[in-house]
Amino acid sequence: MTAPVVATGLGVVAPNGLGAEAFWENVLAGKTGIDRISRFDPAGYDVTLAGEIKDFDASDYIPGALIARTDRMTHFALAATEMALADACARPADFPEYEMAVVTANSAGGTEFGQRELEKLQMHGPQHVGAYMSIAWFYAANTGQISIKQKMRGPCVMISAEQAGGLDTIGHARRIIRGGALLAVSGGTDAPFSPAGLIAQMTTRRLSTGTDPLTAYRPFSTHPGGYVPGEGGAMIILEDAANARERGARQAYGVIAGYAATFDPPPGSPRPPGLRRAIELALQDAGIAAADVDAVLADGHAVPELDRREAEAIAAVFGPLGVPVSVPKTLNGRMYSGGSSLDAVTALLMLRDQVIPPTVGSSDVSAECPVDLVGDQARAARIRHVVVLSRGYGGLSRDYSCFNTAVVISAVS
Amino acid sequence: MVAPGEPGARPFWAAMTAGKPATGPITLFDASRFRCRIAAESRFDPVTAGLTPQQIRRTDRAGQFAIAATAEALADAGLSPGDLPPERTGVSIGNAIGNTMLMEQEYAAGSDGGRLWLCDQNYGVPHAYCSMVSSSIAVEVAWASQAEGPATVVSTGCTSGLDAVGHASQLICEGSADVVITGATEAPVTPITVACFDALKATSVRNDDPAGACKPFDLHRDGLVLGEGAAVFVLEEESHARSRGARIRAIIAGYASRANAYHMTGLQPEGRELAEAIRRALGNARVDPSEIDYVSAHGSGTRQNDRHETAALKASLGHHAYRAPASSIKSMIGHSLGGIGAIEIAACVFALEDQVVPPTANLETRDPECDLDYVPGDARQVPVNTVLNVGSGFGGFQTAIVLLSSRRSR
Amino acid sequence: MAEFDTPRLRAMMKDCAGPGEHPELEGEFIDTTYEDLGFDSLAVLELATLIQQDLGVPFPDDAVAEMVTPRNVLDYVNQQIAA
Repeated sequence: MTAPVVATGLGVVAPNGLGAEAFWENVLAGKTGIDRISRFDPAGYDVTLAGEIKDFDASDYIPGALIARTDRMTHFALAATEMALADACARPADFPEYEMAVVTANSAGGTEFGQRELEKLQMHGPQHVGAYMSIAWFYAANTGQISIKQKMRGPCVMISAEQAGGLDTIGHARRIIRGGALLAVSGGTDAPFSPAGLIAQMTTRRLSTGTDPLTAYRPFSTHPGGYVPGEGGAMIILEDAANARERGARQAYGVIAGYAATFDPPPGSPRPPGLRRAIELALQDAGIAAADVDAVLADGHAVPELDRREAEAIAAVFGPLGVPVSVPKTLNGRMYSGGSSLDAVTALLMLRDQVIPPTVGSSDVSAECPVDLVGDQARAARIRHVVVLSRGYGGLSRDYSCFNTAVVISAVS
Repeated sequence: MVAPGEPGARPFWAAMTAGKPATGPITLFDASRFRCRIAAESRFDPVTAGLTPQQIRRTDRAGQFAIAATAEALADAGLSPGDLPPERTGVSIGNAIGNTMLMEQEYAAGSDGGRLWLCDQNYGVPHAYCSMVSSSIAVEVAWASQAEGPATVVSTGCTSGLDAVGHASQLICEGSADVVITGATEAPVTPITVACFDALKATSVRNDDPAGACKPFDLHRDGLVLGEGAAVFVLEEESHARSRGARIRAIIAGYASRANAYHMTGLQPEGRELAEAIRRALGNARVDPSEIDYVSAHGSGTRQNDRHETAALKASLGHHAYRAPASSIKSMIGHSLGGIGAIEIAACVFALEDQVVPPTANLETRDPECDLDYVPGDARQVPVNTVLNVGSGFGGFQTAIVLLSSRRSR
Repeated sequence: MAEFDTPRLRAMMKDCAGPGEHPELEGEFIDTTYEDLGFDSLAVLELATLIQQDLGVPFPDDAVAEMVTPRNVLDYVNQQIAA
């Protein structure tokens, strides 16, 4: 029940870097991946900035036949998985087929593929919808395609909790490994940028209409203007620690020490939001005290009420200004299910390099948010335990959130 | 429950035991230009079901099913929302394709019928984002039950319904929740989904005989028939249920899932990974194949599935595969993708309570490759204490769940 | 309508096969089975959709089932066009 589960390989497809090392180098240097949307002309939209994946050629990672029948979200997922397995020096053929699991998260489905096929359907009729659509756009496509490509026949799942889903895959993969699997591919990718996808996101009224990539997304600031959306994500190879050691894994970046997920009470309820409880449960699960935590990677919604509530939860657990907080996703945008996985990768690299990444853009921290926000310079620090937070969308109003997930990632002892 | 035909759990079971198909011509949209023009639709109306105008406005039909089914489940459990400690109540709902009807409508407006690739932002309505993400379904169920524990949508294609309940049982077994509102929902009878299955040629083209179209295990089967629906359960840790004097309707004893890692839609005839999932689920449940009284089959009615599944049952159950009756209620209510696994679990619960197994409708001509006892035509009164429920789905997912009668002591 | 010829079929098959080089579709491929060309059932169905879409030639279930080689497709489509 308490067998340690470690991360042995990382794969990253981020707007500011392809591959974990390129991503991390750019994060520490404060180099942004946010730019004007280029996948289509954003001139007709109030939202013009996004964290888009650049210079990504799917054929570097997957054969053409597979590219044709999958959406961009799956290209990212397959590429990140290849990178992560290579980083872990883990060859699926070396593992018993039923002991390898795949747990992915996704939020928006095959958005661009879907818009193309919907266009054909509505303009020309049902005979124009292709055979590939049925497997390309549904949310579980990433898990299915990874399982097939890597020949992983253990429990394979897909989880949907919007942004929080990426962290939930880590908790669920850990559960599956404790249940007997030896290795799991876990993480999320999203590719929500087709025009139809962008418009849908805009209806939440939480997206930034800023035009400067370095200041458009400024969580916890006095006037946060919403978040910049992003695409991409990360895959993490998780393994049973003993088995990883035995097979001579090249590295164990960290231990998934604690995990908890809660859900906010319905709108209008007098009950408190659930983020604080998620943090406390995750700490309890990790068997550590709040004082043991060296850094928090916050969800960072950049919507005033949501920032205030997150700061309140962090302060309640760690004390006001009680722990360094950073939102490195200010460099890539809020990447939906990919974003929380990328934050988990970030936490693992923080442990390796003993440094807290910067938060860019939020120079004037709001008085309503008593967080020790790391500024736009990376901060060297002794790091043994990192808490990663993520919240998933709930709807109804701009001020309301829903899914709360907290993960404690710790140094390997 | 919201199943094809009359909504509600009791009407569903009455139809199943009567062997009554609910398939008919598609009415939810104009299907005249489609290859397959039949489906199993529910007579669900959100207003009659008690949904408020705001709930109706912000949800797709799939979400509406889930809200209605959640209310029914809570009432059946003798609970009002808020009776359970919120922090110890979780949500785990299965769904495969999300909120397609609403999404198509949003797209039609924004793109002006597909004319514009650069959709017009002025046509983005409030809550459109809720139709893009399937997590919104878990949100509605959590609100309807006032759950504040771990909440998620489990989305594994056609096994979502089974996997969501499996996930719920894992949450309870590990102590993360005492109660989980679990099940699944799907409303796939929409233009894009029907068109997808047309392109795959996976659906039956017996458009002139809707009631007889879905023929699982029959020699002349020609494909699946899409259905819609939802089933939601209150799943509880056993001692928690007993201590509040709850009526226990069935026990989830074992769950396992595997993947075929072979093809997104294709199935190999041997069914080895499904057999492995079955073996594991039986092992978890500490149930021997000889104890199985009924198999709720996936039985989608495609040529490949029924052959694959028959082989898997033989490989995992040995000669007991020939003894245990195995039926497919998809023959009557179609295949509701992510929803069907939960609906089939509901059928298993009823079978355990009433000691009746539902039939496979439309099974008229024996297929030599499918030679098990599939309960053709009529429901059958038999002792039912142990049930196996299996499913296969796009993406290669293979799942098995074992249920026990509440009369069985643990 | 003009006859449906090999170059046109080759172009459509390349579309279904996705980006990149497709050496198996150069030279003599007309009588090689789809299976040997690496076209699974989904790819053949996708080709059927493309043909329906671009040429307006319907491709019912039983017709698809008979498409074992590219030559079968050429013959079928040209028969439909002539009719």
